[in-house]
Amino acid sequence: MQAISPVIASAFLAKAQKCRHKLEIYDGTNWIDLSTIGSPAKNYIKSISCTPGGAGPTPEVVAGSWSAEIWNPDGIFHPLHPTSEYSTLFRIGRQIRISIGGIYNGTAYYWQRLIGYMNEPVFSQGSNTVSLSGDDYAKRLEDFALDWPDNYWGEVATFDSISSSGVSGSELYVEGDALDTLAETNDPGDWTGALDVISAADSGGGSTYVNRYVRQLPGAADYAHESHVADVVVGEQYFISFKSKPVQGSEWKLRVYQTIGGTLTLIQTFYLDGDAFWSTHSARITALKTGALEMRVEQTDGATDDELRLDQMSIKSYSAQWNVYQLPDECNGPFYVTLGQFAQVGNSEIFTPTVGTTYNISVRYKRMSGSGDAWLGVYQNVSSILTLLAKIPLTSTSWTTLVGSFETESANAIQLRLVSEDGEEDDETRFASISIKAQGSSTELYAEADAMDLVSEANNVTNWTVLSGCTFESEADTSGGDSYVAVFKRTGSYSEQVTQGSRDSNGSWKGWLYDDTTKLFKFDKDRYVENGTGNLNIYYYTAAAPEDMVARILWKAGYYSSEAAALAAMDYTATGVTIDRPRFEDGTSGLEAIRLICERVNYRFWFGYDGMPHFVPAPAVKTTPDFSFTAYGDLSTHDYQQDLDQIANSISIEGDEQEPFAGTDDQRGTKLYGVAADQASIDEYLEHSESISNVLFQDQASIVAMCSTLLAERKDTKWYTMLSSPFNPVPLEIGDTVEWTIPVGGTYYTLRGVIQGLNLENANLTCTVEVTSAVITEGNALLDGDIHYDTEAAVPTAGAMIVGDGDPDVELAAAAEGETALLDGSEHTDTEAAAPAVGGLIMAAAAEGEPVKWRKLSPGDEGQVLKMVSGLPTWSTPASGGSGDMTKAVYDTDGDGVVDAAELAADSARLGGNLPAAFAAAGHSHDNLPTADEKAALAGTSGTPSSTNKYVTNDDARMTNARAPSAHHASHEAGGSDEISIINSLLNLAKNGRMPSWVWWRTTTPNYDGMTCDYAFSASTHSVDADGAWNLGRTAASAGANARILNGGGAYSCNPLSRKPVFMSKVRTYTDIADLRLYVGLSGGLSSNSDTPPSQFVGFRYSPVVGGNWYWVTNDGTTEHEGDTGVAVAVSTVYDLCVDVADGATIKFYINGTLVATRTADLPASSTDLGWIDILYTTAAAYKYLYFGRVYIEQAT
Amino acid sequence: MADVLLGPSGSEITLPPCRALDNTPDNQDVEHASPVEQETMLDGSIKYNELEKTPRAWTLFFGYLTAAQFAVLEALRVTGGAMRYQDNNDSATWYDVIITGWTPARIKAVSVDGAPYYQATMTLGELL
Repeated sequence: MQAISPVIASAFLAKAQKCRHKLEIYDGTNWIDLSTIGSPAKNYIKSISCTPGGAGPTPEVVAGSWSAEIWNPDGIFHPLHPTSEYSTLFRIGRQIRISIGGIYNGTAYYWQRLIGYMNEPVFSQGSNTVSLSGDDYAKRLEDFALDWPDNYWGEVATFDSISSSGVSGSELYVEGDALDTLAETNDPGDWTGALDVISAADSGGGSTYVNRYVRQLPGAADYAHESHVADVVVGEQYFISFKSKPVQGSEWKLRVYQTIGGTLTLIQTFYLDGDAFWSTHSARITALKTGALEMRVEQTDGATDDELRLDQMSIKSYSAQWNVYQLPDECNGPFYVTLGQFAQVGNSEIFTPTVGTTYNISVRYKRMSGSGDAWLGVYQNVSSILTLLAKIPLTSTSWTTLVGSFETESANAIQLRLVSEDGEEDDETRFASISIKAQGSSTELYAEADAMDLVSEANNVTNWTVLSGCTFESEADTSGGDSYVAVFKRTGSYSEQVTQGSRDSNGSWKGWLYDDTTKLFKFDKDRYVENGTGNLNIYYYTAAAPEDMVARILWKAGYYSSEAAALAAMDYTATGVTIDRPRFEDGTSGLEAIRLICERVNYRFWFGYDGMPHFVPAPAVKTTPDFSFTAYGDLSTHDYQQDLDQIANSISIEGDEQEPFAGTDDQRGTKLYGVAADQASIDEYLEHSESISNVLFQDQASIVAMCSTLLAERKDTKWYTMLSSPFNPVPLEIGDTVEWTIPVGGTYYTLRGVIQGLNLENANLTCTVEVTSAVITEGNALLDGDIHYDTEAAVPTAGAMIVGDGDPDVELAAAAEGETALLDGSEHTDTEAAAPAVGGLIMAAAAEGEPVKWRKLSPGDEGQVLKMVSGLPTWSTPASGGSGDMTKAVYDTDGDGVVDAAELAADSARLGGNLPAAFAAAGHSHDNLPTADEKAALAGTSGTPSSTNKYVTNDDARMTNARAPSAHHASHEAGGSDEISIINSLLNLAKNGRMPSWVWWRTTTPNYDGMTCDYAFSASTHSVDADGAWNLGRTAASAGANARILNGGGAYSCNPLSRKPVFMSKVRTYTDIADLRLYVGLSGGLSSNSDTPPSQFVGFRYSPVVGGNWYWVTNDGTTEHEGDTGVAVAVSTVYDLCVDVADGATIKFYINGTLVATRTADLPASSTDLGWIDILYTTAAAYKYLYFGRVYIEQAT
Repeated sequence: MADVLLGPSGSEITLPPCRALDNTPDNQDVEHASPVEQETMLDGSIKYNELEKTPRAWTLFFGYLTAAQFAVLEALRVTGGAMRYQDNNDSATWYDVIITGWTPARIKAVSVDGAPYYQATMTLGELL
């Protein structure tokens, strides 16, 4: 609950309230409060309702929502209102905040209850109202989706893929028949089945004979089977290659099997559809058992005489390069793997070469788009392995003809491949021609009469087969020099995803494997990987704490500028949990992701009333309630009920997959799983299951623990209540603990619980509470034997118990004459001797007025006693002496009947009540004894005091204070520990070989010290005042005239910067500083009356047309620079202007001793001669004046 | 009777006189909305909430309107929205109001001149 001070809790329960509410909308600049709009202010809020978010009963995120009805009789909120400034206020997406409060002690207090967004405003013309509604800040989380790559926590490692080419062994194909590549015979071998298998002469497959598989009957699947094509060893790899040609029909397949346990087990499927051309197929397989390898040629559906031809079957052992990729230590396993994919088109029938011959190949091409690597490859099957003979890079973006050469290694047909190694969709390369000739020969060997043929151009791309990721088509284009070109274009982007343990379309394992101990990644042996550069991206997990995951989601959703900022702004309790492989399904909403995180750690997340995100454990009932509805009358409704959905006595949690697959045959597909059930609860309430599926449970221990936690929370039924408290703006929140009282069967119960839902209709509070305890309200025994339940929170003391008053009233009977009213309502005759029973206590005398009440004494009356007198008992203060601590326990502690003090006094063994031991000597002091310090001082400072080492007395003539000082002049020198500035400056000048020179005004003419001075005034006056000695120089009364002092003889050859000059000038402005221009500094010449300084200059300028301040100015003869010193020029003001070039390279500008600028660039050359100058120009036809004080310059000698 | 004006700000018009069915001057009812709302609590006690504003409401009864007068009032009703109201019989104070009720009826008894006459009840609520 929010703080309510200075309002007190009981104020919310008072029977008279003045509730108020606010709805504010942010218009992009200001918060507009709809309860006070216009002048005079009007409240446009008709009604308002809000359901704040909070810590609900489950990890489900409880988002807040709101609605409001707004008056709009004058239409000021309508978007079509022609003049209203509020016509754009209501629209989707506006930020809003709702506050509810009241007036207490004359002051309005508001408590914000929700901040969020506006959904669709609905204007109702008939009722002149606008309906608004919306959600709290959770709305943005709901709309935000965690798309790749934001749906996992980790990094990416990029590798160059390494070729997995292996080494083939000897031929294992055992049939000496038409499929044999070694000893071709006219024999179909041992194929059996419904397909007719015939050996036939056909050199198209590359040998003399081929096997024909001809369908005899139309319809369903038919096949021919060969049960022994090779002997293989379990676990070993083999390379299968063959050629096929689907002569007629489709859906031809060649399957590779082994019989395991009497059942054919599929290892590999080759799909043999395509054009009626010979094509080569190959695959790498792993034997499932030691024994025979079997094959089956199969057609799923076909017609009579459908025919497939096979040739050159080869099976060889194969040892793949099982390359590994090392991932970093923080890797917790790969999440997403992409491998660069080649787009390639191939032609396997270019020409049949002669072994050992060198051939030249030329290609004319043009890269149209795309920047990735592309090349033309020349291949040949060598020992059944496709071998790259030459690789011609294709890089030019203009039509280019490249020439390369290759040497054959076998007599197999030369194949070409056009390859786009990396790139994006629609990357395009055009080919005009390819030519192959043997070296020294002019015979064209490129056999295709198609769009790339130099000889016989045609509009086709004969015999080229798209192998992956591209299109290859002929197109009319003469730019390459021929009529047609072949267009090679990518159909997809560079990368393809490789999933763990995945099979390809042929049924081979083509995924990846990972060992978490060694952090090594590798591809399945059946996956053939080519060399690549930076083409293998492994996105791997790194561990994250749940609170960090929440912070990152908030950042990604746009709430904060960074994850760190989100974490700093968040109210959270560290979970102490680490998620090793943090991830969500692609597209998971932010709200769902946080729900899953909460579910993992049984936390709660919500946005508070002020927008602060909270991520904390589930709320628990507090020992002290946040708020108490102290009286039954503080509530207007009270429902008490159970919830069937709350019971869960069988909990199951399905977590993440177990460890990554250990091998290609490891396809457990099992996830971490745990279950917990409570049989007693099932017996009692029947079975109620709760199933959780959450990949953030990544170890069995966390699943077991959470099952146990949830079972304990939910196996037993709970009671819930709905409390309503009208006109109550108390700022309760979901998760708060409340307490209230209800009567049941004449007994009052105090109930306590945790708020699980909360709704506010204006200031009418309704909350759903899980009841955590219900105890009988503590009551007070009344004198009539009844129990009075005190419904107030405070526990009453005995003296506060009320008899004859209270709730309900105890009615006292009116006593008759001669009788006494009893508390049980009867009357007791005064003459009756019998003692009254309980409830019969006499509390009032007959005919004596008001009954006597037990009551709590008022402050200040404490200590009074009830005095029984002849009349009514009365409360009175006891007489003095009748109170205090005169008790036996204090004064007779041993209880022997004798006061302790008296007992001591009478003891003969004591003196004055004390035993002799009380008078034992305890040491003493003497006024004249030296102190310890004084005694220590007598020991002296050197040697032991004696007749030969006497103390010195004041009368000793040698006791004089005169001493010769030790030499210490160095301490006063420059840089010394006690530097004296004057001495320093003098000594420093001398020490550094610098020569000071002065010009000052003693009379009407300047006096010089070390240098001469020229001056020119139209008139001047000498004066001496408190500021110093001055000569008031005047210009002539014509624009451009000047008054000046400068180096003697007007020479500008005295002070080059190389001599490290320090120049100071003291001037005082006149009463008029308008229409003038003043330069003070070191100059290479006399300046002109302009704001551009002399060609070589360092110094100050004042020119009111530029600005009212002193400006520093430098000019190296080419470039002029100036800057505002920030020091204003005022009338009748003294300025000490200093240009310090003491290091010869850095110009420091001082005004009145304060450094105002430093310049190192664009200075006059160090050897350029300069002279000092103070010059005043008038820029109008009027006299201008300046007080010239003194000039000082020093420089190296 | 002094003028009673009603209409959109700047376009207020003088209303026809409020008369009873017998064409005699009639009083207008003015009432204030209840300043409190109340709720009965579980123990039978009442909890009150004092509202921020207590807008006035006026009930104007026009017992004898000519067709032209009726048309004027009908036009005001159709205009709707926020208006200003002034009853100079009471004071010169202008109130921001909205027409909250309009119950017109034609008087069946035919007048001597044969022209139709109408009666109508208009209620106004104060905008605060």
